[in-house]
Amino acid sequence: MGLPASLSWFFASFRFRLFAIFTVVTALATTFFVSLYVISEIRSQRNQAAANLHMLAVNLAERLPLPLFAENRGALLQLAQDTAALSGLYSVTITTRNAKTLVTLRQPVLVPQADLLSATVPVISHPMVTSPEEALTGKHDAAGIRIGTVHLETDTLKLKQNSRRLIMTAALISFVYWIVVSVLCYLALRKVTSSFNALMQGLRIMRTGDFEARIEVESDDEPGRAACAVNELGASLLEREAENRRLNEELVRAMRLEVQEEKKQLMAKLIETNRMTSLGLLASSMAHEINNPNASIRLAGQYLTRAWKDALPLLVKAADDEGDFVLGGLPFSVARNNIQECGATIDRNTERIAQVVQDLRSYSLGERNMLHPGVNINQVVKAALTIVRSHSKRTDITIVADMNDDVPMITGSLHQLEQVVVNLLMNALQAMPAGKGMIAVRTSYNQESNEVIIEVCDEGEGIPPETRERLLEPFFSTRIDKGGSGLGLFVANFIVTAHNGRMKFDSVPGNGTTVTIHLPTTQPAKTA
Amino acid sequence: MRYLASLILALTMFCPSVALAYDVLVVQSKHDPAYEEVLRGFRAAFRHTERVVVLSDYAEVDVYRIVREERPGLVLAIGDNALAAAKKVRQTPIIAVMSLSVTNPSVNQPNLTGIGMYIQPESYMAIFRKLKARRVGVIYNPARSGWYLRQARQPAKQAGVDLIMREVHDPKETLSKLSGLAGQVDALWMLPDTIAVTRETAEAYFNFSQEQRVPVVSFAGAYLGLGAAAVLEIKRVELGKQAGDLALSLLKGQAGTDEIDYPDKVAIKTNQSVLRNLGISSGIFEISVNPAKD
Repeated sequence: MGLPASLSWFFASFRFRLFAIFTVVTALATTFFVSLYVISEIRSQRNQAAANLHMLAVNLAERLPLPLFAENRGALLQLAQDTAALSGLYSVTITTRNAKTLVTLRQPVLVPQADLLSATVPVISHPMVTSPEEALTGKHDAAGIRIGTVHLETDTLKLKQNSRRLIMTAALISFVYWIVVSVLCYLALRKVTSSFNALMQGLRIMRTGDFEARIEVESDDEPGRAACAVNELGASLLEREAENRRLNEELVRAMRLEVQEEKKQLMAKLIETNRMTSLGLLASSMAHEINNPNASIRLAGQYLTRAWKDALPLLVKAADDEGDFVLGGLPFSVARNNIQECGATIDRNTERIAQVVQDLRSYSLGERNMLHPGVNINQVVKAALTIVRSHSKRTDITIVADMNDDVPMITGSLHQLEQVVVNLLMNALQAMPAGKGMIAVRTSYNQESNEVIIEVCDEGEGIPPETRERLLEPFFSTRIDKGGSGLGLFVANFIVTAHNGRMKFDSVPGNGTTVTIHLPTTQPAKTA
Repeated sequence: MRYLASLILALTMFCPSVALAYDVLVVQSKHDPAYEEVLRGFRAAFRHTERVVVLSDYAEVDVYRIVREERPGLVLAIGDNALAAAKKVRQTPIIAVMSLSVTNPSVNQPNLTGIGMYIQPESYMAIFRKLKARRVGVIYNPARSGWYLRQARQPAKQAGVDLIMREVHDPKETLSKLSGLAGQVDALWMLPDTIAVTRETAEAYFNFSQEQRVPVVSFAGAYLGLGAAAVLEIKRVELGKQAGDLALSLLKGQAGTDEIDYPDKVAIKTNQSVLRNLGISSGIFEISVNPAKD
């Protein structure tokens, strides 16, 4: 720690603050009381000087009655000189009661009037002395008779010198007193605050995290008791720290286990996703492989149809000419229509195969993200039903579609919306584990809100209240253990939201669920 | 107004008969216990009817008019102010007591008599003799005490006392005259002379006594406390009785009004401490009163 830091630490310390406060208070108190003393002493000296002068005047006045009454100037002058010589008076003035000045003694040095202290005392006859008249009647006036006046003056130079000396002495003594008291105070504070320092030292060590350190308890005063408390606190913190460490380790261990579990699930999902990707590729590949022979079949069928059309007049003429004959095990009259229908069937089914393959390719190639105007919701629902019905064929679940032909076109992604409906239908199928029941799909149009509505109703288990709030969370599924990904409703909601639409769930546990999708007919964003 | 005037007239007619029904008009300078003592003695010696007028109770009192209208048998003036007020009366006898000025020749008039405050010189001479004082200093004003000292010469001579007299005409002279007596006297005689003794100068007598170690013989017990060795004090009640006797004699026509009497009854008082300090045996006086117990 450098010198400035040490000084700063010292100035901020409790000991220094106490010391500073005490020394300042002591200095102020000392100055105050010494000032009071000096002022009082100066006043006292001045009063004493005035009293002395008055007493001197009284003393002189007591010796003056007879010579003053007799106006004996010689005796008066002698008395005045004696008094002035003994007391160092500046002036002595003796006057009669008629204000006639008999004696005036004055020092040759001129002293300003302001620096003079004066006393004027009347010269009175002896108060016990009575006149003959009073003596004969036994009464007399005890006040005496005023014979004249004595006026004394003395300069205050010596008084001022005494005052200056007093001030200097008082200042010196008070300064020495202040120094001594401050030193003693510092020593006392040092002793008193040593326990504080020990406490602070211990706290500093504990602040670094060393709770094993113990503060040495030097006394049973407040800092000592605080040190005991801090020691107990340190021990408690030490125990708490060990407990925390143990809990932390347990927590880390538990988190590791949980992470491992989640990792497993995530890997399972990744594997599933990878599998789905591979499935997509497989589907795409299969579509390609199917499409080629299908095209050949279709072409062949079309050729056979055209050939049949060309051959049919000849065969009709032959039948007319030669009679009905057997063709393909059936009479020509029957077979001619069957063959024509077979051609149509081949054409229709190959077209259907081509369409399915096209859809499969579009699905796998990601064209579903593109939004296009003129999307017919009914077509979306039909396409979804085409996919889902193949899953429901193995059950007793009936899927009923009620599509309103007046539903307007919307702008969106046909395949994304199809995926939404597929997910909802799949959820509806899975909500009926018994494999019985009916699923209704309805489309409608709300003119007021200008929205297209798709409703998927099932008669399944319904959604439990505890599950309802988590329906749209990703990877949340009540069928995780049965292969559910927990992404169906999450993805569906994501797509609907991307189309500026909304999803609503109405479910009564045990009585089925109705999911309603509201899609605006207005132009949404280009891509979802 | 008519009724009021009638009432005043009726009172004026009836009151004089009441006011005139007394023997002595007592004119008193002021309310003072000493004067009351004298009056008490007067009443004890002389059964009479009286009207008392205290001058200090009024701003101005016309004693002459009262005497003319009420016609008392005599006027008793107690104190100097009372005497001054009564002196205007010329036809009615006046008895003056407790007055220092009654003995002044200047106030002498035919209808005035009384008892002075000066005590017979023989009494003082007896004291000086007991004190063994041969040379007795006395400060006096001729106008006030000259007559007395002239009367004292003979008794002094008989007593073997040499009176060393110093005249003063102003109180300020007293101090210098006293200084002049230093070493020349064995005792100092203080007279009830209002020029020779004042409040300002009385102290000088006792200073002189201390400095010269000579006793002061004075005329009032009040001076014992200041340093007088002995005093001859007038007994006030007896003074009143003496005045009462004088009044009785006057009314009976047995006495005249041509002279002032000395007080008959006086008491000698001494200050034992002063006597002891001056080396004088206190046993020389038969009657002595310690001033501290007075």
